Amino acid sequence: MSLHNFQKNFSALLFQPRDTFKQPPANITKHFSDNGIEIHEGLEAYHANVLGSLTNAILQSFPLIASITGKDFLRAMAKSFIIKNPPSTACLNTYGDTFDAFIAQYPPARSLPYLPDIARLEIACNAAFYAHDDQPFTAQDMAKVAPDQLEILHLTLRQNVRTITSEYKLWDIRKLCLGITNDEILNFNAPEAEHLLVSRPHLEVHVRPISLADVTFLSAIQDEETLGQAAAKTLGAHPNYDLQQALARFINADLFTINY
Amino acid sequence: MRSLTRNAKENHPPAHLPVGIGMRAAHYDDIINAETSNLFGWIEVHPENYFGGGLHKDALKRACEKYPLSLHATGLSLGSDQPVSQNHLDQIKALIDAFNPFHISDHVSWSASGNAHLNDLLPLPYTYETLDRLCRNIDQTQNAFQRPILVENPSSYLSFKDNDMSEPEFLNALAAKTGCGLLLDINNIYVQANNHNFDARQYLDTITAHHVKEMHLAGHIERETQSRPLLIDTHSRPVCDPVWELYRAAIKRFGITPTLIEWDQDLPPFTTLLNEVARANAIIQDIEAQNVPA
Repeated sequence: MSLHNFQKNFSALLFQPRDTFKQPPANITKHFSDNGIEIHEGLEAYHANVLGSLTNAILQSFPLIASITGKDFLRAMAKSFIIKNPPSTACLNTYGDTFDAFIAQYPPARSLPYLPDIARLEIACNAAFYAHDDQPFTAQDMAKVAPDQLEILHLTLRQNVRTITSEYKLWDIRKLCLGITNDEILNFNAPEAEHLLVSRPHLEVHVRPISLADVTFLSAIQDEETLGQAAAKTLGAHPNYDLQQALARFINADLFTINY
Repeated sequence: MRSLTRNAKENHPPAHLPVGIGMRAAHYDDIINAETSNLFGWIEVHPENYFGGGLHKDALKRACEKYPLSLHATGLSLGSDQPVSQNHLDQIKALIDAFNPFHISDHVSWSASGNAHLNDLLPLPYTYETLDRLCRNIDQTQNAFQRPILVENPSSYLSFKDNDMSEPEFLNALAAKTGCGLLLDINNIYVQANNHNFDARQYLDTITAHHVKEMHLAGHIERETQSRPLLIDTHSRPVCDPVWELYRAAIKRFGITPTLIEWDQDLPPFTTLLNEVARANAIIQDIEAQNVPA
């Protein structure tokens, strides 16, 4: 037998719908003997293991979506996703990082147009949770920078920092899902785009609202611009932005690191 | 990178505590903060759960200050007909350098085909072709880690037609050809004996004793089929009585060996795991007592 072809056919079969296993194809059955347990029953055991463990991985990463749609809906949506998007690495920490795009194309979720953006928020939270531990650039570090070097200071965002922009009230929806508000929110559409910052200063992931000007500034830092360039770009778009205050706020929140 | 914890000698399970516990997130507090270090000798984790930073890595650092560590990989896919992922090897090597585990292991199975990873331990035919491929992948892994690994016997739910050898013969050949050690999962032997109709004691007798470096104990479930129950290795239940008896036979044959209580799904209270540890210790002490000359 060719191990290569067997593994190719076997893995393709495991991502087929469950009904396929009643009459498994000959390129699979020819390898196995029926020693009292029928071949399709063994195949179904593997199918259940593979789909079950990957579905659990998705369920763990998208608790907000589970609370909006219910677990059964999420489970069905996850199975459709898994069949079309098997993991591409053995480490499942960030498996599902394209789930937002899948949900946007998933017909049963069409009546919940904000769901892909909630998925984007959860993907960002998950990435922040598992990000590598890089060293924050602190207020003490900042105090050591000579004044004439501030302009050309090259900070970057830590690996646990993400920003999310949405036309929906993600902040309120998240609070509702987590049960930390009793406010009645009837309209999920935001009056203007809403911006959220996701970060993990130490072990816990934080989510909080920020302004468009904050996003402009953080994106400029992310794009590896110097502090001077990022400031100029932000003040060009938002002349009243309090840059000193924002910089202190972000440094205190441990958002930056520096590559020496 | 400097090792965060102990020196190599301290990193081994203490002689009087050969039984360890698989550390899962729900039990971090029990392992890191509770006064349980006189009850079990070491911990095991799946390195794949610690590739990132944050809460899990922090817990691992703290646990390794108290316990010797065994890294039990599930994602190397040693039996795939393709080389092992260099990225995966690099990430495990970083954990080895940081935490200095006393054992590193993975399974005699495959989980990747091309770019698709199935996150399961899939079955292999015991042919010369498979032996050759596994040996190449074990060599690649041992070269990357600069030390021998252990490979674990699997549970499987399908019987191949064209095996060239039995499972224990296949394991012996892997160890002899690559210098790797064997991790005998006693529950898996029991599951295999049931699912594939062979004698579990004979399996133990066939294994070359000096290759055996670690043992695992876990629970399984029975899945009803049209003919007879198919046993599925779920790590979701207590170790069953026949597996304890098989463990007794294994310790008699192979001597005292670091043994892991594995529980991965439907996690029980930590005290349940401690009870399983106590049961394994009782068997070991029983056999030790029998071996003391009168």
